Amino acid sequence: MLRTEDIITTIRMLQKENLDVRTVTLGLNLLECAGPEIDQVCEKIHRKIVSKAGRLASVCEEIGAKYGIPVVNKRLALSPVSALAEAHGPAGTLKMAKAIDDAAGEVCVDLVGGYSALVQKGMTPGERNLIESLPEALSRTKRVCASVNVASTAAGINMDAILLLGETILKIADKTRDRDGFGCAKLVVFANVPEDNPFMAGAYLGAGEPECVVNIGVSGPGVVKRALDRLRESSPQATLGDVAERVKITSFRVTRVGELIGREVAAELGVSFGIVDLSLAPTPKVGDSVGEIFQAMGISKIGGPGSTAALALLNDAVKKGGLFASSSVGGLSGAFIPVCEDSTLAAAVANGTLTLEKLEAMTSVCSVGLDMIAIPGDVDADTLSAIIADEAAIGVVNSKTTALRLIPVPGKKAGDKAVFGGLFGESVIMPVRNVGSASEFVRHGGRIPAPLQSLKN
Amino acid sequence: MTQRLEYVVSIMSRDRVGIVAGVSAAIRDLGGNIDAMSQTVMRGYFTIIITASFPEGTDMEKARARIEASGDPGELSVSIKPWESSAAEPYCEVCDQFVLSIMGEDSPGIIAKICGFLASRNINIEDLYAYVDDGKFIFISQLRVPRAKDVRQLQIDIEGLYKGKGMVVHLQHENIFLATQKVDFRGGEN
Repeated sequence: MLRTEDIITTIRMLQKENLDVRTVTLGLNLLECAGPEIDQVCEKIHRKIVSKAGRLASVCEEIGAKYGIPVVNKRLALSPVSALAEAHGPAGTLKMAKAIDDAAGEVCVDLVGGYSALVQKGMTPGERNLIESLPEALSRTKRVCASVNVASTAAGINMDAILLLGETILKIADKTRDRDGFGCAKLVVFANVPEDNPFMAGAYLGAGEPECVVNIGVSGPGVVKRALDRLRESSPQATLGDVAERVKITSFRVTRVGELIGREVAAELGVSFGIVDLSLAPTPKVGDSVGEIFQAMGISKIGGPGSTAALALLNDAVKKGGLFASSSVGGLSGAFIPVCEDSTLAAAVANGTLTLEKLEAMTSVCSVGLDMIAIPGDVDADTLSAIIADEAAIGVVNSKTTALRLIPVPGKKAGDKAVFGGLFGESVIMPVRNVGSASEFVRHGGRIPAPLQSLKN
Repeated sequence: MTQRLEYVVSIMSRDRVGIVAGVSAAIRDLGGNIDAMSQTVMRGYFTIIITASFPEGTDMEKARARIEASGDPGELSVSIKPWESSAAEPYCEVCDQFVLSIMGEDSPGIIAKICGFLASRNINIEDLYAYVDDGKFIFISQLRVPRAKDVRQLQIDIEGLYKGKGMVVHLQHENIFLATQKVDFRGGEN
């Protein structure tokens, strides 16, 4: 028999502390849809998505109800669409984006990732087609999310791709200027992109993955925050070792929820179960914030001294708890700091304690990177490219994933507000210092070589 | 060899140190052997249920009196019944274990309503704990639900019992609790 205290602990996590399954993401290989006729390719894409993902939403609802845990989002992660774009120009690639968007709507998923290209060492025509189609694709579709991997520890940093993306991001922002440049929120620029990440906008089905696979993203910053509140109430003298231990235990529980749901959904759909990714992914809702965890750890000014150490502790403890809970942990698995999507982080930007430079430092110890950051619309493409290169360098040298979702907001300047709505949130626009000072550097182009893997000091 | 017969012994009393020590010694002295026991204390009152085997021919009324005498006069309420082997048969062949939790403002009849409903649907309660804390009612029970039941409909029906009464009601498969609490849980493999 279960112990009553254990039952109450779980019920509290599920019902009072915003624990949910953030996403059930069905990975789907589209390579068989390739062909010379674009309309046929689109038809095949549509057919494959509808046939493989048609039951995804209803199965998630049914299994979520059985366990009393909401599955908030059902999503798709496709194999890189750039592979289908080799024989088609940007216009053909855009047609594919629309076909994917329509099919995703038909199967009731809110976002679909995999409009992606991996260009860390060089670029094929299809990959260039895809990148060039991004301004139209992200402004004219509702659900399509894109990602481009521009760097890896093994290959180095592709500066030519980064230059192209700097310009492309500005074009996407301009195409969606009526929505504060929202299209940029659906593009992630990666270094060391994970092949099984279920979280958007960066999910795609990697080369070593099965034909069809269920990956799970569980979140739960509210659960961690409340666990730390309780620790502080019961043990005012708790050390940071105690804090890490409490985060680890909590992460264990949250990961287990994800694995349970993931395995059952996969079994019901008759496909493989892939991984569970426990990442503390905030939403704009109060009580669902990574920033609040900083405060619970005693950081009164997020972005002030101590913030990087606190984030390092949190990220590491989350990973350790997850890895003990499941042998199928993957994706990003750590703490996210997407500014617009976290009301406490956004408030820290508004009051000036959290700056772009400090965020960059923090990304060296957490899961992702400069994520969901609204910047002035007049920041030039070269400066954007230089910021991307900086973030990629952190990932490449430290053998970790880093990623950027920078949103230049057309017509707005630092201190103005950008509003994206829903899970994407809002934020005061962050100033970018020293704009225009790195043009000469980034315009060298070429590739920054892969870093040394010894003499690590 | 003397044949042994199995009995179920239940005891209720105000709690104090040494009740189980006295009861188990009395059973030993009667030649009995305890097979299983489960004890709990709730709000200062002690209950225990024991299954034990006794030598054939044991006068069970005398045995009951002997166990009762292990406490002070009038302290222990003891009853003994023959154990029926059919009682250990599963209530249903293919069942799932669910946890039903109800929380909200206390009022008379909440338990009668849910338990009446469960009985009407032939759902057995295997474990139940309910208490009132600062005016808030908390009810947690573990149920065996025949797999043939439509769980989603059952959830809707149970929620409907308390609609508009400010009660939070959840019926959840036990695996969510095992997964979050048991280190060695491996469920839902495919």
